[in-house]
Amino acid sequence: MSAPVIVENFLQALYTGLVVGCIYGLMCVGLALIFSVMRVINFAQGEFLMLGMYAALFVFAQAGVGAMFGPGFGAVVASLLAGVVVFAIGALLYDVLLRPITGLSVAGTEGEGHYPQLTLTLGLSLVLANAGLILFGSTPQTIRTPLSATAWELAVTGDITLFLNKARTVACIVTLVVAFAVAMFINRSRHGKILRAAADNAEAATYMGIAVTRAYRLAFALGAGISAIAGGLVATYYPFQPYVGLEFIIVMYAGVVLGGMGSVMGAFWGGVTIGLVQQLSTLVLPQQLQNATIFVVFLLIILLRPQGLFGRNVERV
Amino acid sequence: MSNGYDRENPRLARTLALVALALAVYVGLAWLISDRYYQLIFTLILIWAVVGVAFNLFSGYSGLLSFGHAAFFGLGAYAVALLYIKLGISPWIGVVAAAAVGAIAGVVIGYPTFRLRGHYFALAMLAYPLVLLYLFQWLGYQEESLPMARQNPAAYMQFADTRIYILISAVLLGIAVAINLYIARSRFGLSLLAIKQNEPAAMAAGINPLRWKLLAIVLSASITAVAGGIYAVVQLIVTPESVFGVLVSSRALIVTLFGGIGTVAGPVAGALVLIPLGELLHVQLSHIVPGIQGVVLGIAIIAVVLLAPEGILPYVSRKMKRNSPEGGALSLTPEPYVREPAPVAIDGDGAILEVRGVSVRFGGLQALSNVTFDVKRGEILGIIGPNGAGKTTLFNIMNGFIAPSQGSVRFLGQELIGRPAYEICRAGVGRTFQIVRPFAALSVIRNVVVGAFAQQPDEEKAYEDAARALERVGLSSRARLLAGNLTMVELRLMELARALASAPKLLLLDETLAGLGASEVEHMLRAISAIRKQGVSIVIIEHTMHAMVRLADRLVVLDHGEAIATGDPASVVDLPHVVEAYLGKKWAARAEA
Amino acid sequence: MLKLDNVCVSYGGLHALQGVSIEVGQGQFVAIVGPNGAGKTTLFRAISGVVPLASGRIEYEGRALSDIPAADRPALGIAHVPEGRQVFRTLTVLENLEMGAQTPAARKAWPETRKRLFDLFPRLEERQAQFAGTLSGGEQQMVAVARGLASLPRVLMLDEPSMGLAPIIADQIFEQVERIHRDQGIAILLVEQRVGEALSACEHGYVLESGRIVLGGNHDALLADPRVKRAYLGA
Repeated sequence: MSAPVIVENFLQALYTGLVVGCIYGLMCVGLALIFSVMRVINFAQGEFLMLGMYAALFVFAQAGVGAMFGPGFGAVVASLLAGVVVFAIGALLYDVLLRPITGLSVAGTEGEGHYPQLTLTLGLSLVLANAGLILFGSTPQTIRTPLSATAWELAVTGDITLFLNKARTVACIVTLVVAFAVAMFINRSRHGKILRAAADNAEAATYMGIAVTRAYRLAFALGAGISAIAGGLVATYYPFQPYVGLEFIIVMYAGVVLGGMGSVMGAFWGGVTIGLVQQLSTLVLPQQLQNATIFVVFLLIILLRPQGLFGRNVERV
Repeated sequence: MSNGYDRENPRLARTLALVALALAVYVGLAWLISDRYYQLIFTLILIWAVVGVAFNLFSGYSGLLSFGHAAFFGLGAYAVALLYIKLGISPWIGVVAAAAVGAIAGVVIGYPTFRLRGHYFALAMLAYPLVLLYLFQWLGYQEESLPMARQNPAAYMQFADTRIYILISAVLLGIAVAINLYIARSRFGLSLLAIKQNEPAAMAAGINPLRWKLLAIVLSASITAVAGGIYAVVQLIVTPESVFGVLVSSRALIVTLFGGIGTVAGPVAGALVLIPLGELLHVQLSHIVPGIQGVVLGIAIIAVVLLAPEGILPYVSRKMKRNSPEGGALSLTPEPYVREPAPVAIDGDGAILEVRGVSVRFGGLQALSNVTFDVKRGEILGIIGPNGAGKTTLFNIMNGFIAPSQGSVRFLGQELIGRPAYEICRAGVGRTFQIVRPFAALSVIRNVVVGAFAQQPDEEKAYEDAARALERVGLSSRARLLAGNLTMVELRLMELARALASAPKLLLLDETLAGLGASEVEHMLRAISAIRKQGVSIVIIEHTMHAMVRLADRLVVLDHGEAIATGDPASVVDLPHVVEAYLGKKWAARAEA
Repeated sequence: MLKLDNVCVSYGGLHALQGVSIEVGQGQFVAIVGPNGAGKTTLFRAISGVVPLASGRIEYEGRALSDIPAADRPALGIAHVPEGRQVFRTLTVLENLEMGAQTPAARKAWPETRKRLFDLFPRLEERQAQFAGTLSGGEQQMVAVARGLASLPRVLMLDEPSMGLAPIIADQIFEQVERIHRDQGIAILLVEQRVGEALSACEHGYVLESGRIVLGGNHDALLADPRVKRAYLGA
């Protein structure tokens, strides 16, 4: 292969990696939010993603959002609305299923509190994925818009042209906006600070009059909704079916662990890194091993550097 | 079997006979079935029961939930399938190879992963089978079917009469259950349980957690792999999804959780209920409602976690026990210490423990600075000091849980710093813990024998040591009582006995008297004095001061990490800087005036 | 104003508090002293509603607290400055104080409250943008006390504010607490190991040992009583 081709492939992979990485980053933010506030490992996060995809599809096609706002913008609006829908679902699920096994009595206990949560969310994952199969059928879907299959051409030099897939690029931009909004919420808003306080020290938060259960519910619902928005965006360029959650859950966990479990924005950068690793690995490895690469990276991080690369190093009491 | 205290052991033979009978009945019933599909269900129930039992062997006893047992199942399945398909090796030999592959996988996966705590462990275990799934897909083993053996099919584990597979699986289950039953009562099982209850306490009792966890996962993985191999033979087709997929690990988990984790019968019961349910739903409804099996499994998991977290069987048996009269807590009639233990002469002179210049920092805080003192042979030394003075930190250093930044701790001339807690225990330093978490469902003597195993690998002798330890604290009459029925002071005495069972020369007691009433405190004091009379040196942290001034020969006072006074109790409590440390400058000043 | 009547609390099989009866009058300074493990922190946790009562009742301004969930008690005017400070380490000093002012009344009054708190603790104003986890022990204690005051409480409960602090710093904190009591008329319920300091500042005191009140009396009576020392040092 000639030099320009190699460079072109590399740049293309780099671009795709960054774009896809940002979307992964948003997914990871949802998961990290739930973990950092509630210390719950949510095995069902992939299913929230999936629900976001189907909700976005429904809103776009059935509810006419696509017709109302046009295909490009409509897909974006549909994703955001999907986030709202899954936010509500998340709040409901928290109240019914998670509240009994999280909350002040369990907050902060190592080991004891973990297994019921892990197991319950595993069960939830099974229920949601398979219920999805029953409700939506197994035919892969996408939110087909003219953007999905077209791309902008960027001529870098005479020999090197990059193809910037429109749907992915738009999705990436929306992701960045949403991620920024989340960061603002967590760092600047009153409820964001309440979430951080509850995450930091649930007992002290109670002494301040903070209803920790309400905070947990907000965190869970928000985490679900954020991942759902990412799902809705992914749906514009990636075919999905009810088991799609499984394909992304490991991406999300790898990103969260890489970013440092407990750091919400670190997870975003972790997701970006995973995206880059995935796309760049296609330069040297066969396509089918893409996912395996992520797993291997995930295992390596967990085994060698569990505290991650990007998290802030403030110790938790 | 001559072990008089271990009344449960003669039951082992009886239980095994019962299990064999139950399996025979099961196989007999199954023999009557002519429909192939139902025969298959009967076989699958057994196979998943084996996986559940194997999973339980590891996760139930160690407390480390493995979400990745599918890795072993799949490796076993592929081992048998590929050896037969590619090399023509009979599955009869294949399953032996599967067991070996499983064992090796257990070590390879266990060794790095056991270093991880809590949720990291769970996530890693989840990842392993999924990695293997992608790997096998990529390697091209999308769908491996086991071809028919033309000649002598039986030698290749192929039978026209599919009921034979039920028999094979039943034998496998019988073996798995027997192993489980045996281990549950043995040193292996008790060590795992101790690790599950409280890993630091187990280490202080001489148990090396890594060693036992590895043994457990190797055994568990091996059996799971064999089950996977049989599965491959029964299904005649192996795909990565069907043997490495999340449903496999979930089935292992839910079958065990449902029936009761940490029990032997649990996984079997779980399999009996859930597998037919899942399979029948799948067959009857999956063309209308695909994925119904997953939904039902998921709901079962959620229901168990929320409603009956210990599992259905334990839940039911607890409900039944509640209706029958309580096997009430016996009131404590103190064993006559009038039968004074024969005093043991102190051997050797010099200090038994020399603490020199111990300092340790945590983050910005100097927890201990330059602490120096001796523990004389045969004495009871009290370590006292206001809240936050560093007493527990000091114990944790003496015990091997923390390493100091400076200083040394020499026990009978050997340096203890740098050695792990279980080695220090075996060297002769015992320790009790403030929060006693007994094995409530096991007898007192079984709780105590865990300590004896540190020095005595032979089970019979260990039980004898445990019995002697119980005698020393006056708890012999409670030996066969279930630990869950003990009163608070009896629990503390049992904890003391557990520490004594490892025949320590130095005993570290951590707030043994906390929360006890006056007469209970008296009882403990007598027990502790009796132990000292038998030649054990004792260091005790206590806040119940009026007891300490009577019990201790000498006191070391810590304040803000420094040893501010040493001496006999009567004089130490009057020293102005000690009074100041506890009660504040103003009080001390007034006292002086 | 705050009354505990025969309160019993159990943890597992352990009786942490047995038959504890205490009264804090309007604007009074009450001290609770006692050796370690006596149950002092459990007492506060019971008042804050974080541990349930096995028996007995807690009354605040005539109302039984048993129906009021823990998160609603600060709104009534009960502030709890916990043992070991328990600041929100990953939040800044200012954010910590803001978290103290979460009740509706406190939120409205926040701008003035903030000024007042910074007057009381100028060091905190200097460090307002720093993460609380990076402050020294004494500064964290200031944050914890200020955070408690931010909710505009009527009774301020302080659990061992001097623990882990060098005596000089502890004295400074103590002076601030006394000043707050004098200037703002807030009732103070103070748990302390440093008996002399606690008893001299208080109007009324109790000695808690092994979960029971063994002595109670006014400040003069307790300071003269040798049984106080015995409760701590056994002799």
